[in-house]
Amino acid sequence: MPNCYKIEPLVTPFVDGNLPDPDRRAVEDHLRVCPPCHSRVAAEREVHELIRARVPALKKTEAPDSLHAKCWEIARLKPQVSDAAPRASAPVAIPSARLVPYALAASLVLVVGGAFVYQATDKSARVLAVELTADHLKCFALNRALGTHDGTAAVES
Amino acid sequence: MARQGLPVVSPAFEAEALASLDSLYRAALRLTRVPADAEDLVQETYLKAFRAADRFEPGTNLRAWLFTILHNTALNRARDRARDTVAVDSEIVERAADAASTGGAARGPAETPESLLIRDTLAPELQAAIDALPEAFRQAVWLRDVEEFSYAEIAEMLAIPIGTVMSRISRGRHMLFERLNHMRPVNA
Repeated sequence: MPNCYKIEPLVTPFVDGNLPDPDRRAVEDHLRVCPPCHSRVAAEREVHELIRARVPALKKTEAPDSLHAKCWEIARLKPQVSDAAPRASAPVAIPSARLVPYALAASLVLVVGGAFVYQATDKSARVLAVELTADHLKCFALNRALGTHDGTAAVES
Repeated sequence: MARQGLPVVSPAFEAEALASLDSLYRAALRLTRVPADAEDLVQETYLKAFRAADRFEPGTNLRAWLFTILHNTALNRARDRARDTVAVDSEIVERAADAASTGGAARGPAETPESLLIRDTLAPELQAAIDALPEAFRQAVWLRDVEEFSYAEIAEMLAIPIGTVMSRISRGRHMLFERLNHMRPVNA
């Protein structure tokens, strides 16, 4: 019969139903003859079941709409392919080296333009997303031009 | 010069990744406690995820992959800022839990009939009790009991051994049990 010390690491997977049958039976046999371990398992199981019962309410907190908008803008940074196209052979839209200065200029226009129209309104989320994407466009472009691997901190004003 | 392009992302991958946004935000809130910081963390997570999309193994758990990026990013930020928001030394966490606990591992719980906790504990009370847990235990319990990640996935996310994952889940659940029971009126 396993002692409490050996049972302890098995308690959580036992409560979660993750133990293979031999281990599960060993735990059950021990719990039948060990009141402290029986109480310990009962307490852990009760909390586990309580949390599971309240999951819908616990998951009610949602990200603000502005964050959803920003993250969709981040996704728009990427070239899109259809789901049918194999990833390995899919064409990638990459600006060539000689277009880097134009990409930098374009991103600067975005940032400056964004700064002028920035207001604390519902539209500010989209403008912030533009600034964010502009920073990352500049970062990507600079890294390609200079052969560096700097983060966006190198280009953020 | 040979050029590394941005990885292509299929609409299906994009949609599936963004479907986890609310879950990632909740996780970020638990990590940062500040909504603005949580938003930054989520954005950075998606930036990294889409940049590394070609490294995601199709057929594996995309949600777990995103959570791993989120937790690693939060850990790196905390190290950079030398803040105390993330437990870096798991040994310290375990010792602190030992010091804070009111009894040993074999101590039995308070004498509460099994049905009362579920019947009487409303979600806001439970959320407050979870939020009051030490960081390491809160993360482990939430990722297991709410987000239903496996022990191996949680170990990957939190960069700790699987045994430590289970230990933290167990201790977190017991801390919750103690806290929720102490909030009950004493029976005559």
